Amino acid sequence: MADANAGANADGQVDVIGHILDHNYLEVPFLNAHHIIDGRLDLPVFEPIFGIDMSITRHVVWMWLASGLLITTLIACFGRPKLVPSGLANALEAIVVFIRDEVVVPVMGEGGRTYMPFLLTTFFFILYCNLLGLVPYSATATGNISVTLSLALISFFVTQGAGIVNNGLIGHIKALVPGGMPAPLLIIMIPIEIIGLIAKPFALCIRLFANMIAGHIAILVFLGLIIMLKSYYVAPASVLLAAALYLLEIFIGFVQAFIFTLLTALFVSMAAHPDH
Amino acid sequence: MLLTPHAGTIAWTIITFFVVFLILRAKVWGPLLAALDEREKSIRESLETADRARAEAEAQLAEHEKRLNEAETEARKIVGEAREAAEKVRSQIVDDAKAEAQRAIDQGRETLETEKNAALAQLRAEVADLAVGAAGAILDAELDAERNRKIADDFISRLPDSQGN
Repeated sequence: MADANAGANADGQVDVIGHILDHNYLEVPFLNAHHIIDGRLDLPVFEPIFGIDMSITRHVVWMWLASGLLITTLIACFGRPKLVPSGLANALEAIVVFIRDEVVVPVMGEGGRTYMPFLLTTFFFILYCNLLGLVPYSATATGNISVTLSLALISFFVTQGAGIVNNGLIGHIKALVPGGMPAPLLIIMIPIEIIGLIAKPFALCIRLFANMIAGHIAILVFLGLIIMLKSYYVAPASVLLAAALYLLEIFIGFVQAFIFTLLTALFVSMAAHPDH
Repeated sequence: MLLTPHAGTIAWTIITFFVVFLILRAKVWGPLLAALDEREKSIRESLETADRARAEAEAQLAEHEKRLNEAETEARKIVGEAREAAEKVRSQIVDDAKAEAQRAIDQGRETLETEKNAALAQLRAEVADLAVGAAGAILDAELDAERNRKIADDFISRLPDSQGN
């Protein structure tokens, strides 16, 4: 928001995309120290390691904060499992049981329980990033294409790994094309299946990314109207709409984490049991 | 910029995800999933135990009802038998009483007959004696018809009233 305000001060425009993009500084206008200029806390910049720029950006920082919060809350709730949970543990346990009984076991069968730790981590990791991104001055790590691409790549490799472990490398490659196909059709089917193989993680990546930035852009546009029109009279409508979208964003945060987990479970199951 | 993947961020995300995964798998998911299974097992076992206990209770109830029915049948049978025995005893007593009465009546009748016969025999003997006496008296007196009649009448009128029957 500080970034948006800065943009507005300069030329009366709201820098919506700037708010969405990754930067190598954190927005901390509430902190006051001699090295914080314009409310920006600069993050360390590293020399490229093996040709990769490993500099810390704000999305990485917020992903770490989400991870730290995730690990802290989960260990606080479940570090010592009790027979009858209470409070937050109860709510989080309901989510775990929901994912197990409504997603993993129906989609993957009893064998899917092996993938429970991975799928639960995926769900909660995405959920915490989504929800933490709604805190003012924070950044949504899952609104970064690199982050969603990484998650989709992890999902993709777990899927391929499940196929290879269950059917062997050759069996897995053979299973990419449906069995009993006439030879001439293979010329068409093989490219289609290869495209499908890549399209699945690509869709996972884009769906999460687009859903996360869309809500943020819409909220920012509604609030930006106040600045752009230079009128207090639009403020009530803008704030009301932004608040409604904010609530919707909380819901979308859950839904997108759920969809990502569900589709990953589905893809893993399809790779592990190609006959169905 | 918005849609350009950044290699460093990808690397950090994958590293972060795996660190989070490893920590959570060790500290949270293992114990939690085990605890969930444990709890579900305990609930299932409790339900099964409750089901078993209920089945047992129902079986016991049925058993008790059966025994109760049996006892009632038994009691009814005993009462019936007792009534039958009592009836038998009663009719026995009545029959005995009737027989006894009959015997008493018969005996009485027999005694009566004997006594009547004895009385008749005695009466006959007495009448014969009287007739002999009267005949003697008549023979003693003169054979006058007028007087004879008078003598007979006097004799007869002197007879005690007990001869009247």
